[in-house]
Amino acid sequence: MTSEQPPTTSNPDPKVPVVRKYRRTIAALTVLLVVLLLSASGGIGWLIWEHNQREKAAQELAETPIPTVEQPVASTPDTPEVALPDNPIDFASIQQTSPDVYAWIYIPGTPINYPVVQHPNDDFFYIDHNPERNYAFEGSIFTEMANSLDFSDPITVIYGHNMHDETMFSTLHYFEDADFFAENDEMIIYTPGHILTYRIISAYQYDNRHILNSYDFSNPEVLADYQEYVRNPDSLLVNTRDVPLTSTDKIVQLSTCMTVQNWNRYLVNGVLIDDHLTN
Amino acid sequence: MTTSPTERNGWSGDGALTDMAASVPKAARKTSRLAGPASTAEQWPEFEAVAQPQLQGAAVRRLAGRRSNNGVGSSNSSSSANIGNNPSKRRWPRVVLIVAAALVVVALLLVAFAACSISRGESSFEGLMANAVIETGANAVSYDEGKTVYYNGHTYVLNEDMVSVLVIGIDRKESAAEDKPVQADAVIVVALDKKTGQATAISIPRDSMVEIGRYADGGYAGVETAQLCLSYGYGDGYETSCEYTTTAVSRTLYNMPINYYFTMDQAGIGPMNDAIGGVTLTPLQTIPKTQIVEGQETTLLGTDAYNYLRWRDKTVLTSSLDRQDRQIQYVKAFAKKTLGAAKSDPGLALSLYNQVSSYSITNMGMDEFSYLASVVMGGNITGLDVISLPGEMVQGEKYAEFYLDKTAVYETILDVYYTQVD
Repeated sequence: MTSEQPPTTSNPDPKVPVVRKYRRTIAALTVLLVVLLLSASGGIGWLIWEHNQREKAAQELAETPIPTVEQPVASTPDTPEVALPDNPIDFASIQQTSPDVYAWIYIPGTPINYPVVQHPNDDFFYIDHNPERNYAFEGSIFTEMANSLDFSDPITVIYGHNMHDETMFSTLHYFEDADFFAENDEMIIYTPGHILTYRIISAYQYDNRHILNSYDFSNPEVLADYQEYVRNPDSLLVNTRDVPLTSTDKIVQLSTCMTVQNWNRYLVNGVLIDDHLTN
Repeated sequence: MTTSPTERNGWSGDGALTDMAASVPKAARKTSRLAGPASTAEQWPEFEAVAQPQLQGAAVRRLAGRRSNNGVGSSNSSSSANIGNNPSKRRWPRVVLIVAAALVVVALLLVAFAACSISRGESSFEGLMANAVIETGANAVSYDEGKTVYYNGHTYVLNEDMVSVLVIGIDRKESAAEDKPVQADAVIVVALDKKTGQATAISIPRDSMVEIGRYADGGYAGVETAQLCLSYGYGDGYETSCEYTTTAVSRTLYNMPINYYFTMDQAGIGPMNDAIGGVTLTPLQTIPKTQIVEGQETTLLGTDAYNYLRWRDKTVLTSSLDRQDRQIQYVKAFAKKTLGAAKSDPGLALSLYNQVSSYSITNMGMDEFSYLASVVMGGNITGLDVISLPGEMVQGEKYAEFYLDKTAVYETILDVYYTQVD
């Protein structure tokens, strides 16, 4: 309609260019639109990047070979020393790119097959960094400085995220299933020169107390009480295997979160039963 | 001793500051939205977690409204601004449409992003109790993180509609007089089923020997097994103390989430009691220096109420348990009377809340309190079931020690927080 009617009260003076007012409004709205679009695409972009990172991590996990040990050639009369097998984990080459890797954990029956790191002075670094020390949403499998690097502590706690795509330590939750727990009772930790085999003795839901800060394990009574709890925990979500413990036993506790109640933890616990030397 | 890490998505690192239950929300005082009597008041506020997307939608609608107003306004006046040039006149509505459409798209994207971050596990009123049912790959093992429990040949499923409020009774006057830290003298968890309005109170003896956090020089120093009442004393006497006790109670109850705490100083008992016109009951014990005689029904008013709830004969080993019995009896009678009175006076719950606010510390806002009160009222509940955790009182070196019956506690949790399905 090419109506040439004069404007309504919104513009009493026809000589003032109304078009400028509308241009300003449109300009302002366009700026707003651009800002919104940028932040939305920023948000979406971040989500996509994060998704890709996790896919990459899952991919890497899938491609990591399961550690296997080749038994050394049997000793002959000419070589009386028993030859040691090679350590399936090539720590020297891993440490070129990931200097804080000091161990490797493999749990048969689960996809867990990861390097273990410990940062020399920042316990929280590997919550959101991968072993190559790059920012990574999924973090690493790591221990804190309170634990020694040779697993000689009575209680060692290894942490890992409960991711939603079965990477990192999320598959620890498999041990909630009684049948799975009954059929899978082993976890293996490799360190330079050692293959440490652990028998899984319990898996249970726990609270979020910092275990190493909560107890003085140098006190034999405290240690004995705690070991007894690990053997026989008081929890609504428990699987256990009857394995007696002594004061010299070394326990490794794998800790991850619960999915919704993230003030609780899920712990899978093993006791050292074998230390096999390697090269 | 390591310092505490910051929280991150779904995985809070362990350390000094996060050793208290992360489930306890910080204090959030909101203004009351109660307009007036129930007959004219709007629906009680619902506490669903999805407020954010709605806000986004509302914001967009307002924007779109503005846009369309301009569009309507412009069609009249633009015709005068145009110097008779048809194409430029048609351009405006089209641009407006494009911009509006783009804004709608952006809004949708923002809504999607917000929904994503919410579903990432922000703790909501509902999420706090929920246990995940995890979808896993085809060959993977399925797990539900404790939603289902098998016990004694029966199957129990977690009731995800439960909300728990920890009521703590303290006495600042007494602790000041005795020059010792304030202790949690009454510890009662009120477990409320949001759907049915059914409320169950679990009373935990103050002398229960449980693991409590020890704090020294402002930092976490480990755990110790000690009387539950001492957990309060490690804090600042206010919010921190409430959090420490809430953590200890949650751990005693198999890590059931305790969403809120409501701590009341005994000085508020009198006013609270009188606000409903006093409480009538048949005393279980004779209280010295009062008119209260065992077996003689009486209506407690003012300091009588205070004395009935606070006094105990410290020479008797079980005195705190005897007092707990009286407290439970009082709480039941109080609840019954309040629930009855609140039917004809729906504002009563809120006015009580305000009455005792100067004596209380809580992380429950007025809105949340109103919501919970409305749930109880709506469920037509006439009374409060009170369970006292059983165990054995033993004389320790200096103080009484109560050892909880672990099996009974476990079964109480299944009773209150789980539903038996077979």
